[in-house]
Amino acid sequence: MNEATLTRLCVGEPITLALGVPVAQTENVSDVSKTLRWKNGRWENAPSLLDRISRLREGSESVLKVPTQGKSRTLKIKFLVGAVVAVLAVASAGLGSAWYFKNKMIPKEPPLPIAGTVQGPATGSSVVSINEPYPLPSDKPQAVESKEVPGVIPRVDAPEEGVAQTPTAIAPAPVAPPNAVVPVVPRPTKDKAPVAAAVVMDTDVAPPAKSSPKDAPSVPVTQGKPVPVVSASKQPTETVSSSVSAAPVALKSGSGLVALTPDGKFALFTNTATRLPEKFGIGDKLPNGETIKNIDRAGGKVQTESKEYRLE
Amino acid sequence: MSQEETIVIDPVGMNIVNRIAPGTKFTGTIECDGGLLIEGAFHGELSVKGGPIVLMQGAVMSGDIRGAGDAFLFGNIASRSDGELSDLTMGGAVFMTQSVEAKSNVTARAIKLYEGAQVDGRIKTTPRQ
Repeated sequence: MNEATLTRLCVGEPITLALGVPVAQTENVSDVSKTLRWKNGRWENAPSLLDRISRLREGSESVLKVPTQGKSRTLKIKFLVGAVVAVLAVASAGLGSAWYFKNKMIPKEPPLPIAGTVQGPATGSSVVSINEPYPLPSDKPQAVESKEVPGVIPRVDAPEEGVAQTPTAIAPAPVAPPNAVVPVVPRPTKDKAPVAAAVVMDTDVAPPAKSSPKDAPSVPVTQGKPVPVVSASKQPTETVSSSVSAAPVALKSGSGLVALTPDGKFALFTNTATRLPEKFGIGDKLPNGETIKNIDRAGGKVQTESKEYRLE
Repeated sequence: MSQEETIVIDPVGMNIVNRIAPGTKFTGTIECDGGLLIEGAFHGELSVKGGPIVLMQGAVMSGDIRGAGDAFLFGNIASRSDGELSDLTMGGAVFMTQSVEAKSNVTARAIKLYEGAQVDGRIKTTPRQ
């Protein structure tokens, strides 16, 4: 019997015993994520300076981006916008109501006459007739005279209904041809109805003067024979004779006499061709062929052989 | 997670030629030439060379235990009779398994501790000779 057999007999057969789990560091069990380890050429879990700076930045940004602050800002902005809109709405409503009541409280008056409603030269209004070019001798003054006799003068005195009776509506200046104006044709006003009546008497077209100074002169305008454009080169002599015999006083309302010199030697007439004033003395011949006989400075008159001009 | 380790105690291969059988109580001094398998109780002075000391589970020993080889401790190391800690001094490694309960100072060239081992005493390792 050998020693091995004796050992087997005395001690026994090989037996397997469990030692247990050795005490060791196991990555699966223990948390080593926060331990300092060298890996891939750098220390893991060791915050670098850049990491610390970036964390500080992130921290500051996170402080700035607090959701409650953003909400409060947006709420403030929305509140301000809403307040502005509400103020504007209230203001507009107040203004609108004020405007409405203002218009409602003011009694309605007849519409003011508008100067723009005055008919222009093409329509043949009285103003137009006054502003007609000053007839030159070469032109046909007689024709103008004869054509304007019935219509023009009443128009001067009678602005249309609704037209503002202001000097602007009557076009102050431009003057009718002096040859057509007989003694004096006053400026058209309401108060000067007698003038209109006198004029009407000379025209066969004009109706009798009415009590209302406003209506009387307006009749000829409505009835008005349209003022013919002076293109008449035909039969000037006949018209001249008829017009002169009819009513030389009523021929022209505007005399064309603009001013007199202080010494009374010269008179300024408007040259209707150029629309510029021209100076004439005693003995000078006007563009219409008349010759100035006398200049009365005190009375503001210029006397020709056949007519008398007064200052406008 | 570490796996549980096992060991095969082969008396022939490990030169364990001495044995204190279960139920055997020995008090005194023993000097062994070869390994010792303790399954009973031993109190006193023990010197083992030429083999390991195997303290089986359920076995008890106390006193002054010395050995030249390794020690596989599965049982109890009780304190001395006077209440002081026993002394275990080994030339090799000491395997303190999951079932050991020791009230002893342990000195060895290497100590391998398993989870569950209960040691009450000083542990000291000595340099390799």
